[in-house]
Amino acid sequence: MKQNPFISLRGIGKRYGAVDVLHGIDLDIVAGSCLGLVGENGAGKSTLLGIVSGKIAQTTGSLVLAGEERDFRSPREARAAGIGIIPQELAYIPHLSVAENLLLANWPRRRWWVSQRAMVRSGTAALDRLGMSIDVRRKMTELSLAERQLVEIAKALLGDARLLILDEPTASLHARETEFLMGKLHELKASGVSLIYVSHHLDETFEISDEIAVLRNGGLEDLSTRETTTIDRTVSLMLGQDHAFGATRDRPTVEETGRPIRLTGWNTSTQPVLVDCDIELRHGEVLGVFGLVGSGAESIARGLGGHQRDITGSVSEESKTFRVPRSPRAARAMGIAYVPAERKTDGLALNQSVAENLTVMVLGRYSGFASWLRRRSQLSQAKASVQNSAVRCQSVLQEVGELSGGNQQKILLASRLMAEPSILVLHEPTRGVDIGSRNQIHSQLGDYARQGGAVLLVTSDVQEAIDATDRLLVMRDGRVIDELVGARKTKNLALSIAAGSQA
Amino acid sequence: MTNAQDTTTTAAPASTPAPTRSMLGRLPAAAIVGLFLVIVIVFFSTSASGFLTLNNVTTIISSASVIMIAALGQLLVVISGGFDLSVGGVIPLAAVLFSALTTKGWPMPGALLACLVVGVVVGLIHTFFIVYLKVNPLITTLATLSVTGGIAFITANGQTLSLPPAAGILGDQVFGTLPWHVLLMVLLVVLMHFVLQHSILGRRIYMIGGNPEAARIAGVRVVVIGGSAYVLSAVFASFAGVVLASQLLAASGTMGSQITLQSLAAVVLGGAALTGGRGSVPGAVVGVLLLGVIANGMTILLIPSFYQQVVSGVVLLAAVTFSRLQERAKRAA
Repeated sequence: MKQNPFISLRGIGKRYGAVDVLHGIDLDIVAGSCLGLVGENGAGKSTLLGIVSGKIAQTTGSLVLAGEERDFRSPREARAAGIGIIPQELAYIPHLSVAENLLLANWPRRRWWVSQRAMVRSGTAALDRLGMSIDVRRKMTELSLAERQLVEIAKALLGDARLLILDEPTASLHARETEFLMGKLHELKASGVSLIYVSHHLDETFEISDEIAVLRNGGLEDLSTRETTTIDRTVSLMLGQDHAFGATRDRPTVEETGRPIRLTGWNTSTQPVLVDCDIELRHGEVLGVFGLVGSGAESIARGLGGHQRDITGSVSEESKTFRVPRSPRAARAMGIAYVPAERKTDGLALNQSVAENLTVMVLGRYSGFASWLRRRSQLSQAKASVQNSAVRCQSVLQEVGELSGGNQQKILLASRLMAEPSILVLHEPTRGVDIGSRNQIHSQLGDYARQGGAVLLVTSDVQEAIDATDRLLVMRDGRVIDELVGARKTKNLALSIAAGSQA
Repeated sequence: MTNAQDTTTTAAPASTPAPTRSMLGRLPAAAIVGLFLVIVIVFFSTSASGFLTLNNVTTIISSASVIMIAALGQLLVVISGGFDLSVGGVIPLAAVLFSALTTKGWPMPGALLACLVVGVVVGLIHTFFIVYLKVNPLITTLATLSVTGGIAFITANGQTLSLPPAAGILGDQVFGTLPWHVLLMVLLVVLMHFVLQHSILGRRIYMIGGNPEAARIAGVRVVVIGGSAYVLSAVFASFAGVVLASQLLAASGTMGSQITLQSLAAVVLGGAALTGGRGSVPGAVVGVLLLGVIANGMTILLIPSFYQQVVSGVVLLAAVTFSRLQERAKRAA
């Protein structure tokens, strides 16, 4: 089994100031094999990938490449040594042709002119190697996402990559596209290229990898061959023993007393797809919808917020039935307030004041004579809201952009609560937020539910899905797979179902 | 519910200004330009004789009044996150139309109203293309600049039209040496200040300029609010055209074409950001006055007018560079 490794990591560690983000990583990657790298967010995966691909310099340890100790000072050096990385966010130039993107580093030239003929020839040859037959004169934007991914892989191989690092390559692909990509990756392995495969989708990781490495808290927790481990064991190792059992919630689960709101027959064919989703949400509870990126959970949130127009289906409460709202205004008319996932682009006007952002949904309330603004009551209510939500700011006239991420997120939530919605929909409400603000936001959601609000929390953060909800739905491939309550509501089970090991 | 970690991350910049945050980051942009205006005024009053006389001050204000009116509209559009280059076409169009109608014997209020209606139409066209279809404002208003300017030429048949004396009422003096149009301009300035700071519409304009997508998701009618900014801008521009024609008792297809850039320059000098969400009426007033004072002072010093263009350009570039540095200092803090 142990042949000469293509690259060996020896005691790799990284410190940022006093923070130890990675320590003592020893790994060998054999030519033509695939290493699956798994771990929770913050386990050190990105740092490790950064070190191997030359983006980050390690603090301790060394990389051994073909028996020679190497120190990459830049991604360019790593590329020259045969290490290519396909980042999660592809970096191509959309309006150039496939061939132009493939040969971006080195366009064939004749004197001062680019030789289109040579470009098409080399481009086609590069794709041939992957067994792809795309017209390389087409623009990147005309290709499917999976094809773009493969073009990026072909580009890396053109640079003579012997090790390819794939960071969440299937995050935005359909099942069929994923299958196609997997097939190509198997062929690549057979041709002697090594892979490092990083994905939250453990079923894929297990399909392609020969060995699975589990990172936790910056250390290598486990390294097993595929044959000697299982998805469930891997999940437990990722989460650690202390998290093996679900946190019990101090709040009793709400009985079915609240009026139900039914989402019926939700479908969409745009990515991520939804297939006949039926969800029942009750007043007085926090319902969680958990799914990995691409599972369709995000479409539920966006659809309820009126932020995604192409979903068919209905929303009904008692005898009233509505279509899926087609605009944010329509959603608001149905009594829905929506906290979007991207607070900076979709949620807040960063160069406006705290007060303006807080009152954006209810400004009409302060309309006085001839629609002049009753500024004093606007400001006093903004101040009250800042108090209730424990926002830290100098004054309500301070610009929101000057506050920390946690405070911004609290303001975003508070601005929606000011509208006193009957349904509060949140999408990733605590992404990139410090733990204190996170707890504050979670407890506010619970309070709002107890006052009779219906709260729908859509998240891809498993800890949040367990901690902040009364009842949890798990989604995968556009379907609601399971409902977890009480003793079954554990991180292990939620992750296993979302990652595809159990139905 | 608040906790130690939160306090440490946010309280530092809140309680005491961090040492990295420079003076530059904290002064409002308009204050710096205001300071500069004072320096320029002091300079001219010592070097140019007859600068600081009542007569000359009236001249400065009256010649700045057309630009000020156009700049008020420009300000609304810039705060909402766009800009309006068509001002320099709408002004001559309104002026020529006003002259044609009054010559035909239309009563003054009727002619004025007709010109304002033209402004509304131009504004609605902008709303459709820029706010609703999301065509780039630069291209759209460049096109309408060309179209409105062209129609002005066609209407005037390429000539300079004259107006009947009765149509010159806006240029007549209301009390002392103060003409009517200055009085109207001041009233509009005060009104627009209150609209921007203290009306629902005004606050919404700031919000959509700050982040149109966030505003839309929060349920703000972005098309209505953004559209009103463009409509008001074109209405202000056509009113400025009427004032100009009434003041000079003449109208041609070329008059006021430079006001596009002057109004934009004044608004930006006054602290508005072309990225939207920033700017104020007092700032715009300071910007207009600065440009006006520089032009007037240099005229008194008998410096040829083409030098004024150079100086105005340099001042604008300096102001924009300064606000960029300020932004950077803020971000670094």
